[in-house]
Amino acid sequence: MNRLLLSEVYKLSTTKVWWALLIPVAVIAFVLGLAGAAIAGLSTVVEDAGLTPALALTMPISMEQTTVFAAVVGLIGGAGEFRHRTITTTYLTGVSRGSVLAAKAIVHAGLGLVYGVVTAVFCAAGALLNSGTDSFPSTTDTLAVAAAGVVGVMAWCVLGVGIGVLITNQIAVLIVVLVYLLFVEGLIGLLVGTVLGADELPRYLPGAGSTALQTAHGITVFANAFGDEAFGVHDVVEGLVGSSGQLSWWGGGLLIAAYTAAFLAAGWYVGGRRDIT
Amino acid sequence: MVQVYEGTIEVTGLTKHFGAVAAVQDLSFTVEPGSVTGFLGPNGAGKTTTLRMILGLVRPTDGTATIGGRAFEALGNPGRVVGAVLEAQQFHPGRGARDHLRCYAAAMGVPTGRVDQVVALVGLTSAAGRSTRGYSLGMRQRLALATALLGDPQVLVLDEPANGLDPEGIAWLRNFLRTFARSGRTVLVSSHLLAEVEQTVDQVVIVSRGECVYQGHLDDLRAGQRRRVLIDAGDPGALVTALQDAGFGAIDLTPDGRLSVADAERQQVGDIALASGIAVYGIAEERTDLEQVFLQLTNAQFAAGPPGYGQGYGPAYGPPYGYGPTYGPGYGPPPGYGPGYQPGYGPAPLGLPAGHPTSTGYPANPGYPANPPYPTNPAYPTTPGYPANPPYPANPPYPASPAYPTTPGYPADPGRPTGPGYPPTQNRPPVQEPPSPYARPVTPQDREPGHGP
Repeated sequence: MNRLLLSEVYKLSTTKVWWALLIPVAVIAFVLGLAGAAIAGLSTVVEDAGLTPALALTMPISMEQTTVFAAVVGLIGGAGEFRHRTITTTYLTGVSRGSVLAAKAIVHAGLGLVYGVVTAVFCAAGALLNSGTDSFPSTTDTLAVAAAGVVGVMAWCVLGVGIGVLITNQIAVLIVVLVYLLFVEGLIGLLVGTVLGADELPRYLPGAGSTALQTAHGITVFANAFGDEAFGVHDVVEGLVGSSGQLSWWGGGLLIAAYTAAFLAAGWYVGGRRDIT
Repeated sequence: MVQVYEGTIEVTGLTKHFGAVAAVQDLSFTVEPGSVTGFLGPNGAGKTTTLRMILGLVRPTDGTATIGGRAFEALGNPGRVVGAVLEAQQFHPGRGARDHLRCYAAAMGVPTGRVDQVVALVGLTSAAGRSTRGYSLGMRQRLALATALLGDPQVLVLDEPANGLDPEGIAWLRNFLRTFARSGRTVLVSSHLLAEVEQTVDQVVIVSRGECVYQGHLDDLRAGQRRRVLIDAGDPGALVTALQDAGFGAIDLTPDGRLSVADAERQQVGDIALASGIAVYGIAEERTDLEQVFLQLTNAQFAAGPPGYGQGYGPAYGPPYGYGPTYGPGYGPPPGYGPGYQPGYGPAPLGLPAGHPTSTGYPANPGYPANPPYPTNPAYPTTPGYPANPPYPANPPYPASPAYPTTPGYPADPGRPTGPGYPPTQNRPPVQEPPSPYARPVTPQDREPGHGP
């Protein structure tokens, strides 16, 4: 297994995708952190309470953006070998197809960790650059928000591998997953949730799961800074940053973990029986 | 308990259906270490599917394939047991050869130093740092071979490895495979051309339509070649009597009125005719060559007579399948001539091992009847440019098939006219080079894309 892990690390490190997509991730996180802190500075005009903990919102938002990139890297990691037909050699040199998939999943979890940590660092750096630590929530909350965000990014990177190995057509899988994440899931929320009235359903979709995991705690921290639940700040922010009526952070975490496990299992089952011709 | 050697490939009742298509049907054969085994059959015979089933890439519908007694999945670290060069095997375009090999060296747990060894072995050192995007087909084949050798495997499986290699590369590969096998390891190499591997392999497994039609020593197949003498005599009846008196039993009358004497030599028959005072208007000796035997074994796949075969092989081999000398302009219209071979030559199985499933007499040569206008072209032998191919008209000893690949003039053949009715030559199979006595690893300049095939 160690051999296959090392092999997958080499495979990643000898291609450009992983760092090419890490650049926009870092830039977006930095800009969001910077802008969030700047907007937070404006609120001092209205409030006497000092700066609001804007990082509690910009960090989760950055993580949501990074999640899309991590999903793309994961999908390429899973389907890329089929696209370039290197999967033949990979299966010829791997102990088993299952162990190859496991190695890919583990290495991409690690890559997701890198993406998440880079996001957290650059977002915090942006905020720090603008207004010092004034827009930071407490250290514990900052770390909690960052950790939840990183776990969501990791989950989607691994989920991408599972979907990629399951479907194998890299172009198709990228288009489908990106369109789904960026448009379809929101549309389903609108259609099913609002029009059909089944507003319980959208929160159990995979995108909503990771969003809940990544944003729930930050939204609570941010809303609590206003001190008064009567304003309904929490619900308003939740509608803007996360999704209305979303699960708690741990509920979302369990949900996205379940999706990841399900797609990995499907990739393992289907991929293990597939004829490589 | 039969002892199973480490490198023995054993295929038992292997069957694969792709939907309604049966790609491989109940295929069984054994490949032993210490020799190069050719896995032969026309395109679409199921060779690639079989190799991929042996390598665990395709799941058999039925049957088993084992390497050293174990299924591929049970090999543990398969790259250290079996290396494979497959047709569709490719590389990430952004990775260089060295990076590509490092990825798989890691997967097999092979030290990184081995990467440079195999790169040097296949002669890719100067290109190892470049991304494979710019590699020629020949370089890709070399890299695929390097990948296969990375784990220093006991077994080597190659699917049409000569594709894309230049003649020098092919000669090198032949030499390499023989040396590899001689060290007690197993080599299974597939090809759709017997001539391509004839000088490399010791054993052959011939498949047709997903079924095994022959397995055994190439020498046995070669020994099975039969010859016959075709003689156009003034008094066939008297000659038959004379020949029978001389002990020649298998005498037949061909539809064009000639006598066919099996297992005879020209001189013998000529002497008998002279001694009997019978006029002889023409005499020719024929011998089936290996390629013919191969085609005969496999042509059940193309019962209707594939145009591709006739066109592709005929011209490239000179007289189609060695019938040339008997086929000249003076011989009249051949329609009816071809079909007559089958009954005329009798059901003798061409000396193939007894009980051979598809040995049903003389080959119903698929390409042969497809050439009707050919002999009716009186200008043919004198067509300008044609004489540039000296062996052709004066080619009575063509049946001496061992010399076939080295027939002078055969590889060049530039002046061959596309005369009326002459089959086009674009499907000509790759020209075979004799094994180079100087087989050497190819030098770097040979490997620049411009020099590649």
